[in-house]
Amino acid sequence: MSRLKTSPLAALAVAGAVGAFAASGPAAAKTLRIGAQADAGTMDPHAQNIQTTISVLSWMYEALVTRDKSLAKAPQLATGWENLSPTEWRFTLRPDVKFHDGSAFGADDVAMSIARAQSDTSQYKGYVGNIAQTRIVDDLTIELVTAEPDPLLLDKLTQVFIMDKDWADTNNVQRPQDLKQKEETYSVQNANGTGPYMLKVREPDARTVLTRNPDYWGTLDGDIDEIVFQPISEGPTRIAALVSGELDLVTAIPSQNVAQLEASPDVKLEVTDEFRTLFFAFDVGSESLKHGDAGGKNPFSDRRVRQAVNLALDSEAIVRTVMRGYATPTGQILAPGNVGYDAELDALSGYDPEAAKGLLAEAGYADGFSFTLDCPNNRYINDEQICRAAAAMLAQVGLDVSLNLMPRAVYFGQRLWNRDSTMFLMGFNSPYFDGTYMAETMVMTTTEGSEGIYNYSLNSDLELDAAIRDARGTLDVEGRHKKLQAVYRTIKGDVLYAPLHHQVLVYAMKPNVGVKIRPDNWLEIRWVTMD
Amino acid sequence: MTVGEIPVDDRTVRRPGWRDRLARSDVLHDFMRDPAAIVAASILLLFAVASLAPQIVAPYDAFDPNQFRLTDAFLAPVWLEGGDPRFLLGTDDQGRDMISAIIFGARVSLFVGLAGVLLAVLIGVAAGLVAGFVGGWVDAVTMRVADIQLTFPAILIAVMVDGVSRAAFGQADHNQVAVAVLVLAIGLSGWVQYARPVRGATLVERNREYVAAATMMGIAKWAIMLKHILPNVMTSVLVIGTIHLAVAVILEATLSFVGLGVPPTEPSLGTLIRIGNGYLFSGEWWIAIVPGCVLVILVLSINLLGDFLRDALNPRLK
Repeated sequence: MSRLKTSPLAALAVAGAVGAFAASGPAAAKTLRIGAQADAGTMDPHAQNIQTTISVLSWMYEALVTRDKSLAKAPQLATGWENLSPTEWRFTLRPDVKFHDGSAFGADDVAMSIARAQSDTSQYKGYVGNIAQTRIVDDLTIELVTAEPDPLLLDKLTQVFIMDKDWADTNNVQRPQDLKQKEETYSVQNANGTGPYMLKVREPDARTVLTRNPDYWGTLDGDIDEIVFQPISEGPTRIAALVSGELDLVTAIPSQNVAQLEASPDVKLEVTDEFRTLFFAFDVGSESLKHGDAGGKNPFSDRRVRQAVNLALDSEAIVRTVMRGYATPTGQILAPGNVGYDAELDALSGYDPEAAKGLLAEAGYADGFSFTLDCPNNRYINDEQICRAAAAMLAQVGLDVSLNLMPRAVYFGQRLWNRDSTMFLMGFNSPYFDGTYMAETMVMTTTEGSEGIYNYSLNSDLELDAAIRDARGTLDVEGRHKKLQAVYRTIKGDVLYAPLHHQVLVYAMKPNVGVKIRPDNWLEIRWVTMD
Repeated sequence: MTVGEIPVDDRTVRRPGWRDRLARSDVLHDFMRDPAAIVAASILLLFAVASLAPQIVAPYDAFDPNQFRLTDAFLAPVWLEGGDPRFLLGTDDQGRDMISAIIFGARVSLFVGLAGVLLAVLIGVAAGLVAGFVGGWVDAVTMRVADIQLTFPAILIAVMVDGVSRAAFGQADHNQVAVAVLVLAIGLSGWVQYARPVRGATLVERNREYVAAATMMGIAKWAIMLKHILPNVMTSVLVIGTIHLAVAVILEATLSFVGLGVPPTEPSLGTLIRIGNGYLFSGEWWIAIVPGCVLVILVLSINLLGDFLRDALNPRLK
């Protein structure tokens, strides 16, 4: 299988070839053109843990375990697994699977991929940090040994894509690119997985073209030959492209456009409650404000100030006007559908600007203080509008807010990843529908391993850490559920965050396209059909 | 005041300065007979008054977050269904009164435009004057730089200035200097159109007798440039400046529209249109269309007045 490099010339040639093919008659290839809010940040499977990136990569790369339509765990590159002991897992691998370049899939590829995801430059350490040892038994059998018993190992492995070891060695990409340093490696522009589609053209932030893998081992619901994935950050532009026929499927429909699209006969809508919650987080750990001025102090380390922010934000008004009702206001950071969810914690803090002013005065900030609020402008639905509304609401209780809007690459890649933000918007979902993930990666103190890799708040509460560790090691789901509920009750009690709402996902598509939305916004290409 | 008349007499001995030419060309007379110019000037006067005292003219302060509520967002203009008499032209997505946002926004746009043009005039006139008067390698270098810059579109230069400043200040601190950066971007992208005609006029003027006379009297070169040549080349600068102001206002709106201009929390005509763009399809058209119309009227008025000035100040067009 020869591979096309993503040079402009090759892209032109491909565009020409596609055009010629499409015009050649009834046997034209079926092409699904997808418009999304932003591009996949990289083609490297272990460099950027963002849902869009994972979704696009999952069309080319595969994991040991996947999920079926009921979201239950199902075999993918592993055909089966068993527990030898609470910390030892044996996986039987799928035979006769080939990578896109024709080389065979085997246990050494799995071992290499896990080690790769454990690298310093990986954002996937949260999924594989607990794996202490990989043992290759034979070519199609591998054993994983975890440091502690890990009831969520299979769930975590659904996120860890398998790369060909020889390909990684040949192209010198044994570790993921360093996103922080904006490193460019071979695996950033090229892909070689076992999945149903192969990378044909990669133009970052412009378009990504994939063609069907003729030797794919698995089955697809549809018979789509080619996928063109295009990032179009402006919602109205994306929708206009769908209505005018330039796109077949559009994700992340802004809430304000849902009513209009519902009325359109040429467009079909799919709506699902997403397992994602939006909230503001604070730098609670620094001595003084990194971006702002509060007389050398860090007001956000004071619970009363964080509570004041909660009281100043009218999340119901945001949901009603900005989200047009396509979201559920909440008082907690964990979405329904996750293990550890407690409906009681959804109770809102209530909108009370006077009480907020009172708390600020009590904390010694009667005249307010100035700080920068960081927000992405192409990550969450109406993120910019949410932040502008929030900035105005915070100003109304006397805080001097400077709003800093950034595209997601800068926002996550530099600002947050470098722990360089004072107050920021977060939208978190748990990739395996278990509150352990968020508690472990975002709330826990950042340590060497997987703990706290998304703890952009510099939060450190050793008691809470211990409670999370205890919950994490609890094998039975019911017991973990109870313990996690307690953890999230503490988080809410400490007012570590200012919750806004649970997001609702809306996809729009042409009537001939069929999509089943996963509530984690993972666009499972194997379930997409086109008539 | 016989004492005061002496310099006037003194000046009429020289070639008439632009002020005298202005008076002699019957600008006022022409103006009164040009309805388009009158309308344009009146509109600009309105904008000027509104910009100088927006707190008095505008019903609300668009910069004061205490004066708008999210619960008032997306209210239609008063003549449409869902309108609210408190907000004649409706509200934007944050519940800001559109009229107030536009008045404050036009103020930002006009300020940035004027300051940008002023900067461009300063750089351009200085460069043209020096190049034309000194000549030699100074002239060659200045004009080649100008030639090179002419090959770039103004918007590209403005985007580059913005990019450099973002790298220098960082994204967050950029908000504080955003307006200054815009002014700089407009000034740096527009100076060439002043430098070239000023240089041309200077080349002509410096060979005239009055310059030779001044040189013989031992007047310093800078004084000759500023006091003798500059007044004689300012007519074209005034005309170009007026047209450039319209371009500068559009440039500001364009940069703000693509998110490179003033911070999103502060209204300018460009940011208002950008915000409204997100709601064009969802029925709230007024958020983009109303500031858009205001921008058109503002730019059209400036252009009409510029056209009038060009005709009135140029004796050859009579």
